[in-house]
Amino acid sequence: MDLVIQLLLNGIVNGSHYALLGLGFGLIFATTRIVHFAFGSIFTFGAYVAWFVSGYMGAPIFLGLAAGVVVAMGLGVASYVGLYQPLERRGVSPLIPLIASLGLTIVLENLVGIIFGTGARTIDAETSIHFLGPAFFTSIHVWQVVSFLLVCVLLYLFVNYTRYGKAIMAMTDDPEMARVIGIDTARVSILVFALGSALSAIAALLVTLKDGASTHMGFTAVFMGFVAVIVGGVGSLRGAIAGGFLLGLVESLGLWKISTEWQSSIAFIVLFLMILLRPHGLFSLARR
Amino acid sequence: MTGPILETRGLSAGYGKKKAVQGIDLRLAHGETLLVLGHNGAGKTTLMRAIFGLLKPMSGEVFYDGHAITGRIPARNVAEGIAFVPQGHGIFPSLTVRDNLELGGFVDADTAKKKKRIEEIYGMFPILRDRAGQIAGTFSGGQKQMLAIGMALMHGPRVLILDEPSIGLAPNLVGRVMESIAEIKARFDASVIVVEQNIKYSLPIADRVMVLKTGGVIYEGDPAPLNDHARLVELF
Repeated sequence: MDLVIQLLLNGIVNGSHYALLGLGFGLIFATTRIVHFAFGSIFTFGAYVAWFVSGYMGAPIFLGLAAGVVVAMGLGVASYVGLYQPLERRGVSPLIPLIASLGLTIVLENLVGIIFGTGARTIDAETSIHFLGPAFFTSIHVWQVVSFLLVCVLLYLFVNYTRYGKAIMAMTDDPEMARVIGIDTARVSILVFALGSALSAIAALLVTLKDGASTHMGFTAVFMGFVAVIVGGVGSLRGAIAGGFLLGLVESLGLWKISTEWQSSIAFIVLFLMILLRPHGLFSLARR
Repeated sequence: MTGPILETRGLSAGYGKKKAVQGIDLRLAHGETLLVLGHNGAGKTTLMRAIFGLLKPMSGEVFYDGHAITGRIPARNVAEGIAFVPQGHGIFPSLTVRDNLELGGFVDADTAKKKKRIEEIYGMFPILRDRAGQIAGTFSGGQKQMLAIGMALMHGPRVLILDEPSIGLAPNLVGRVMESIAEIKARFDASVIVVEQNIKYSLPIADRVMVLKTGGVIYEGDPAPLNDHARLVELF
């Protein structure tokens, strides 16, 4: 029983991380319909920039976070304006931006290695350990959950109560109708690329504090974000949250009966089962 | 105010390299209702999309209130008073009626004005008030069309373009939609282009008619001659 409680706790922490990635990836995907796989490389960039500022230069963690967020937002916006938008204007098939995104992923990942080196990087941060009955958690775990909850509240308020939040809602529902009612869809796309990339940088800093950063960390991030979105239902931010949590809990609780070497396969199994049993996802109709 | 509010000169548009409409000269006078008729594939929708900015014209020009707006993005056209109701109910199906109406007025940041406008639209279509919290996708075809028209009116357009508002509606509802178009003209002082295939219901509200066939204009003028069945058969 002690093990189950610990796994459940780990599941909530991992679920918060995956849900945050799902929100970032899903915000971009649902609004623009662009499968932005370079989200993973931008996540890596955010982690390394945060490490450079806080780990290498020794600046406070919040400055590392701010730097990571700013660079990630810049890269996100640049990837839309410099790559996807010109393709959109040419009216190419959705497959072309997908291929372009994979190319951009490789370029950015190599750029991280060239700029920061290819070795693993860690940030020394004071970490306290807490106990909840027989289970333990660290202050970084708390930050992962708290950051996720904070992002959820802010995003909810933004989407439901601001003009541009409603524009995101409209584009998610029907991009052509969004243009018909006078929404500048290019501007909204830039906004969601900036927001989604900022979320990736927040998740990146927290995971770097916990596990350190490596140049290939982006693949797992984008994959988990992608699975969270597919499981939750494309177009639903609530779905991305539910998908992320489901993934985190199943992955963690799976270890109760399955050997740890199978842990990385659990996300694939969840994805396959979801595609087979409920292809539209958990929240396919609920857009918010 | 003597010039047309909306005009196209030699407008050609299409998809890929194929032109769906060619060299169209269209004039919409202030306060006028222009009915654009034609069979499927005549190029009616392509023409309207090119005027509104959803489709980049291949050649020719579009003028709004005397200014060239050719190829301008819809966001700017909407902000300056052109509204478009696309074919097949231009609504956001996953959102509530109220959300749809609010989004219809997206270009207008003035919330007090928006609230007033929503009340006006509720006055025209009371069912929208009764079902303000309902998800719009669950509406019937006629209700969706009313909502789509209501959304288009949210920013107080000077030109309203309706693409086949009667499509898929029962005859009694077609009559109601056409009545509402006449009411809109009076209430909002708007000039209207109605694209239609339903001649019987749409002809009575038209001030002038333009008939398209295979991408070109085959008739333009008074609606009265089209009441003559023989003349219609000759045209179509």
